[in-house]
Amino acid sequence: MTMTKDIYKITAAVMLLLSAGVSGATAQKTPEEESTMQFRQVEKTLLWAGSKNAAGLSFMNFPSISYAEGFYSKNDGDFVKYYNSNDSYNLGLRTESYTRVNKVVFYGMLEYDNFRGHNMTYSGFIHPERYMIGLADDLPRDKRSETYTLKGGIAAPVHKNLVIGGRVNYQTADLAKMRDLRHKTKLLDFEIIPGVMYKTEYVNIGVNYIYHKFHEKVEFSAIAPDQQVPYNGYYLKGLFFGMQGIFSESGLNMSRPVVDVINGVSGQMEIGVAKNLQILGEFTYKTQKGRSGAGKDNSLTENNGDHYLSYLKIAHSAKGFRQYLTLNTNYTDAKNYDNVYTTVKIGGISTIIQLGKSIIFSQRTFDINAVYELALGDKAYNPSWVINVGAGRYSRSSVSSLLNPIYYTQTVHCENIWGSVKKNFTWGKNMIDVTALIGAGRGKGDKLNQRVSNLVESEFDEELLPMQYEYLFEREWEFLTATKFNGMAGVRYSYLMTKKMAGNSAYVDVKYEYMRGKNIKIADGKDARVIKLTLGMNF
Amino acid sequence: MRKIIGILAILSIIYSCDSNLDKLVAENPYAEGTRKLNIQLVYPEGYESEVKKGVTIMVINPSNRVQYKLKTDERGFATIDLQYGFYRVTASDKGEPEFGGIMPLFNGSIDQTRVTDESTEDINIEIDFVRSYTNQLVIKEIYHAGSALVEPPATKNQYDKYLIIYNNSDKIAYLDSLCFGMVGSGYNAPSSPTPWSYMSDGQRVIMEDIPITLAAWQFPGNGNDYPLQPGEETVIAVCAAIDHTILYPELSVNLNVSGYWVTYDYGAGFTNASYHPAPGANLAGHYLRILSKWGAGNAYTLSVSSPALVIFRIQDPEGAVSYANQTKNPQNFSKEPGSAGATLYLMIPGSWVLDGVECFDAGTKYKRVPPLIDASYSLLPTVDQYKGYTHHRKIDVQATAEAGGRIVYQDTNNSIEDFEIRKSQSIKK
Repeated sequence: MTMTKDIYKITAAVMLLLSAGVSGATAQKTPEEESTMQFRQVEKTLLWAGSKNAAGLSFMNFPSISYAEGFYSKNDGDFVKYYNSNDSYNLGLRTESYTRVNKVVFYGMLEYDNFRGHNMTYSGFIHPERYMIGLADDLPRDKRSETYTLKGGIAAPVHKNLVIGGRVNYQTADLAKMRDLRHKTKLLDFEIIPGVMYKTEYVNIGVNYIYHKFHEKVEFSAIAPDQQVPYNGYYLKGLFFGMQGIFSESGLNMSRPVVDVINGVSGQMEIGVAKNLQILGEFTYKTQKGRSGAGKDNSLTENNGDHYLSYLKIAHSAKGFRQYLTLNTNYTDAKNYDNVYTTVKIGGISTIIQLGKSIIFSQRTFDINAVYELALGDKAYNPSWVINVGAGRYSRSSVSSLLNPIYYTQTVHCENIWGSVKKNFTWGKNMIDVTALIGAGRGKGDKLNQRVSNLVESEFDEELLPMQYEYLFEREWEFLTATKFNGMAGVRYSYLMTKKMAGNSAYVDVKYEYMRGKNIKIADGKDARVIKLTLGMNF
Repeated sequence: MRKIIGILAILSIIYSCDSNLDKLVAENPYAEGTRKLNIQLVYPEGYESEVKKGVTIMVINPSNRVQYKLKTDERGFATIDLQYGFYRVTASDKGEPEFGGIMPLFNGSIDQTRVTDESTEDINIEIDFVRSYTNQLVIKEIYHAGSALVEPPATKNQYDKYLIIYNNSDKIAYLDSLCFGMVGSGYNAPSSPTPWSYMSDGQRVIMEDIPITLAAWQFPGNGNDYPLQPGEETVIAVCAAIDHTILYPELSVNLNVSGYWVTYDYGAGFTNASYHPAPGANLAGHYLRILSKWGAGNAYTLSVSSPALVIFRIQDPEGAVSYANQTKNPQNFSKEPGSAGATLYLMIPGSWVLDGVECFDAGTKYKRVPPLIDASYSLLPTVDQYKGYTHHRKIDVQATAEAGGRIVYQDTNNSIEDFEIRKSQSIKK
């Protein structure tokens, strides 16, 4: 199978960049640096922080670091995805920590996010791009949501060379549309990743298992229906083809649960190429099965998919600078099927008879992105300059096959590049970080092709072509392929604390992000803006 | 050197993954998840020579209304690859004119052909054609879905229903003793297979004896009292024979017209004043009487959504009244198969039916009428109810020209071909 050959290629590519050496993060801390430590910069020195295998946290060689912050962001602008708001805000609290207790390392993150948005419609899901179906109405109204996220990781050595670890990621969210046609959506996302790592002088090898389940339940209702306004409902099954009708409990009802379960396995290999140069490679295979509808026997659609992910991080440090190269790839192959069944009464009892599955949508995506970072300065955890350059490419092919013999295809390729610079100023108890970022992106592809299967030699009534929600289709295509420019400017002021009990530093951070699209015709506007204010403390 | 090779390897991964994406759009998604359905038309005994190339077979997916039109080869055979589901398969053909110039019609259908994933082998079915003939009298129009006020509060009116019977031949026909009724256990098209059917070789077959529900109506007369000339029609008001345009001017019709008929038999028990008010003065003497009524209902409720109507003549030597007498001839009545209910239905042999039309409000419903009478259905969706829409028979252009301008309507006993939906009643002034 082609993907097996690609697995070998990825492994070979990683191996070509490796050679024997030592392992572990090499950044060293000094006591006087502690008050100026910045969480994200510290985290980068831990090579395994981006790995799924928590056993790699055991390489943490910096002092325990944590932060707690409250944030507020205001989002405006019409050049957003079709299901996002052009006028919304987020308000929340977050805390994150790496802590070592004797030989055991702990990681934890806790976040609460309160969201309110105006003029929102076109999807009942909290994460619409996760699923191969869409459930939507078309009346823009206010939406509110609350999201609670908990992440945890632990690494504990059980032997001189053997470390066990585990990650737990848990998220729950509620989303509600406040007026008819209203909906409430509940999300439960749970992931557990047990892992193990074997350390040697020259190479560290890890393996972990992944179990991930996420579940969204959407319930549409009309509490006080306005007789003058039609409540249109849409049940979309890929490329925005599907069913449209007037919402009713007995007719077109978009309420249903969607459940997906992912099982996977990852393998890691870390090799020290030379002193102060480490390379970590990780390969992950995941298989996904999901359904929509109440219960396995009554499911309306079933989907399955295969995911192949790779992660490569190279870290190099020397006197006065550190550099990191991170490469991520993600290949996905997914299919969605309609369950075809009929209901008959046998002995007075309604019985469902499954007739088979019809493929209605298939999609393959390939995502690759690389980031290079150069950090200059003597302080390992608070460099004077941080320069980043990144590039990414996203490709997607889709086939919608709702009505034999007609089917529709689409391919799209999106590319983006970006660069950022951060400068740190420290004097006395004051510290300022100034950040600027610019980026650009564009996309192209084959928007939509109608094809006819050569397996059906008959006349076909072309008046019965599947319904497509053309506005959403065009809007998504425009967002993917329009030439975009984006920029960000941010300032963080930190007050350094010398007394440990008060923490290392308190900070206030202001960021402004701007994106503009070129030749925008479908969305109501060509730009979008985010301003974010954060107050926090490192300790 | 190693780094260059590594970069080239990564580029080859990108190229390989992109190639996989391109392969997806080049593949036929229907290559999997389908089975071949082979259809053989079987003509009745004595008509085997009628097998021919080019006969149209319709394969309909009721869940999404997709229709595939196949053409037979010289053996009367056609084949198609279908996704899993259940399908209606119907076919119609006309034979060579027989003695007297009468043209036989061949119709056949299988209401529920299942295409499942139980096996990958081909599915073979035979459609047994039933022979019938075009009739003098045909149902030209059925108006059952009602009307409403155009402006708010958009009050609905379901009492202006009617049907039109038309003389489609070049000879005088007579309405005397002609009967009509609704087919099935209930008023509306069922959402599950009709109990008046059975499974044969994995396919569902509807019985040829048809049940009449609620009541059978009959024209009066002694045989020659009510002629219908070639090209003439008669309107039967099924509920209120009044001028509905007084209250519903835009979408309804005036049924208080001289020459029209009305189903009105107060003494027989249909006393509901909303459904059966006193007919207008212009209909004096033009009342259809109840031949037989069963149940305690006080109204003849022709389905607003999906009636199946037949016109027939009872060919019993003892006469129609005797045939439909439940006490005298209980063998002519039957309970619903598999039901514990006590309701009895008047059973009419399919061969007595002069014409019949099956109306659906959704393609997912199940047929009540066997192919002998109507091989398919005429569809008026639920969203189009109460708009004054009507099922109307199409004009047979060639036959009309041959008849010297007298309108001849298409009659192949296949409603999906013979009928169209019109947005206004033909009698609306």
